[in-house]
Amino acid sequence: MYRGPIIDVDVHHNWRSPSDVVQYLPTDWRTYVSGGSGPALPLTPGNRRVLMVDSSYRVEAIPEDGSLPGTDYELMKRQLLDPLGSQKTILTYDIGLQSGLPNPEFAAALCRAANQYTVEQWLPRDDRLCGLILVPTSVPEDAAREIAHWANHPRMVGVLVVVNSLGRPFGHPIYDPIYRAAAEHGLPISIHLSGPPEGRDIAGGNPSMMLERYTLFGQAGMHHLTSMITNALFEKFPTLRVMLVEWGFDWLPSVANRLDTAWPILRVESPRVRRLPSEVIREHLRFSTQPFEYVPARALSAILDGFEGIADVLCFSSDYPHWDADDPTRIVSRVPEDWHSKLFYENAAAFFGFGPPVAPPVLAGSAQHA
Amino acid sequence: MIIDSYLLVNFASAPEITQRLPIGWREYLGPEGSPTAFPLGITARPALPNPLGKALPEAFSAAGCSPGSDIRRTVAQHLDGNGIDRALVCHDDGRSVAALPHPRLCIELVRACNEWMLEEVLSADPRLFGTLLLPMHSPTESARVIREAAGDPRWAGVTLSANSLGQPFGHPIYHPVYEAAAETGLPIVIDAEADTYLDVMTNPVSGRPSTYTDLYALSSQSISTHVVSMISQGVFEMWPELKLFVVGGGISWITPLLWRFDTQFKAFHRDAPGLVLLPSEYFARNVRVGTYPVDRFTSPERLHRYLLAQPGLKDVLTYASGYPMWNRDNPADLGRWLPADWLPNVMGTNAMDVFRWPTTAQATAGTA
Repeated sequence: MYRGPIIDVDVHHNWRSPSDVVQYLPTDWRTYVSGGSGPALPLTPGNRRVLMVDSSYRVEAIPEDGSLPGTDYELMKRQLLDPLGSQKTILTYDIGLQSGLPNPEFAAALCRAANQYTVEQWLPRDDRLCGLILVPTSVPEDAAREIAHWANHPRMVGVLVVVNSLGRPFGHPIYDPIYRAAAEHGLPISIHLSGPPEGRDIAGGNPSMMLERYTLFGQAGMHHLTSMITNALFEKFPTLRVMLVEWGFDWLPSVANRLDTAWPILRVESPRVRRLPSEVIREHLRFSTQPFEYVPARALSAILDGFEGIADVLCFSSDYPHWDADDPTRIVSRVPEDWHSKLFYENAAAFFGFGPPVAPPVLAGSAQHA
Repeated sequence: MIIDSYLLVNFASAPEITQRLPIGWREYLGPEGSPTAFPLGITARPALPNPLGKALPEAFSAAGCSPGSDIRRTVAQHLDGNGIDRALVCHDDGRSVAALPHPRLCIELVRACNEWMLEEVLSADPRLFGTLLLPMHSPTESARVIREAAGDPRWAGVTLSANSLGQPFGHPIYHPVYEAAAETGLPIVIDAEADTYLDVMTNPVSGRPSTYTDLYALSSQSISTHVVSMISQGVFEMWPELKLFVVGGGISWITPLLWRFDTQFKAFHRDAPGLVLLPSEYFARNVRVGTYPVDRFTSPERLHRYLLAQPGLKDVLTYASGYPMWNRDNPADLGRWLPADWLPNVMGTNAMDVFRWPTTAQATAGTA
């Protein structure tokens, strides 16, 4: 049982109707998305075909009016915010794919509108909710402008980076304007699970089923991680912190040790890198815990122990209202007790710059029976 | 008994292979020895070379030669030097001929490479056994190559050496290959490099990598996909006796992958209604993993705990040296990095179980 405070770093909120966000678009773009004599244009890029349509959400999270899960604050409050008793909940859109729309100017306009929607429609409803600045990744300078626009908003606590629109992993210097702006404004970056809009996101060829894709979906995240190391991102921006959200975490010991093994080579091909990759990871990178591996506690800690200091880099996430959302009560029994306060609160609090918890601690899990 | 299931060889120069081609293809490739001949070469150059050099300095017989191209030197340095009783020989650069975009030329080059392997390598020492290259553009032609070659006891496995069709290897288009392999008792070998040649590059994902270090750290990704794909697509239901040997991505990728795979199978079992076992059970039954390169954790004890978290891994891992690569593992390296009581299985017993070795009578005849 964990009785301490919780920060939930990945909760997906969404607009009930496209008009909720379209209203914040400039007139030209409102005309564009209206679709003329055809149907209104979608606000997300086209998707790959190996996708679940109805079942990617928890069915109990579907609001009574049948709209999409994550669109109803009251339901979210009842199902997640109150029972979990999170001190802070980081809203991450569903999942911010707007940043990857192929029309770059429209993508930038829609990110601005989405951020305004979050600031006006969600944050005022509950002090526990925090927003991330969704940025258009296809024009990093636009992303930097978006960061600057919201950076002083006290409840916009970081930057949400989704979809590597430029066909390069996120350590590539082409994205540096995003990192520079985040570092200048003291904001951390959350990179949420997502593929490139085109091209491969699974090594070895496109899989045909969700069974394969969901088993392998951490691969792109691992490349984002190695590319941030090999391109010396954190030498360029020493105060920058990045969280990999929903890419998994039990692969970290494997990848980090392999990076360390290649250290003599890395120094030659990337002379700006000054420190061992595992040290850089410990200082600058964080990993959200969902989807958590429900394996015996001893096996899990034997694997995670392959990365020294793993307890300092994990941050709890529920991933509500997605189908495989995690509940803290299922995690507490599977990690050592002395990890709990770090994993559920301290690591994320330090990452987002929150102070110590303010309210009396709420029982994780037990509150739902109260 | 020490069996090395991953010993790499190169031909010293392209003419060793091209002289075995029909005259038409020799003309097509240009005059032998000429600097203008087939300027792209018959083998692929890597997208990102290791800037420190990919092979051990002592593996070069002369300046300008490919590492591991002198089989006598290899035998003396590695087999004799390390007390190796048997070795499975794989092409290094040669495996990339299957990545050439010309399917018909590819068929001829693969044939020449296999012939070269028999005549120039496997004949040099009775401890050496070979893996057959396949013309990967054509699974039906590949199946024919397997059936034709299978009579020779010196072939111990077949290599899916390049992902020329860009599909994960469980895709039904490859099933004729598995049918032929199962029929002839030859295991399938997949090398992490199969997806790294520029013509067929699928690894890593989400954009091209910046450094060799990225490639090295992520080298297990394509073999992970192929393992997941072959299990998901029911290859081991269709051919329960078929063995798969994957190598080149180290060993630490296995446990997290299998956890995820079993978990997702519970959610998505309707994707693959033909599977009657858990993915990890198919893995334990049909898949073996070469140890090269053994992951260096901060201490052997940490790696031991990590490996012991997955029950049965002791029966899955197979010693693979990777000689003459820069990071090759000698038997002593495995003694240092693996749990001591795993060594009999990993160094020999497991390899006996996966590859097609000659019967005792054949082996005795071969030695005599």
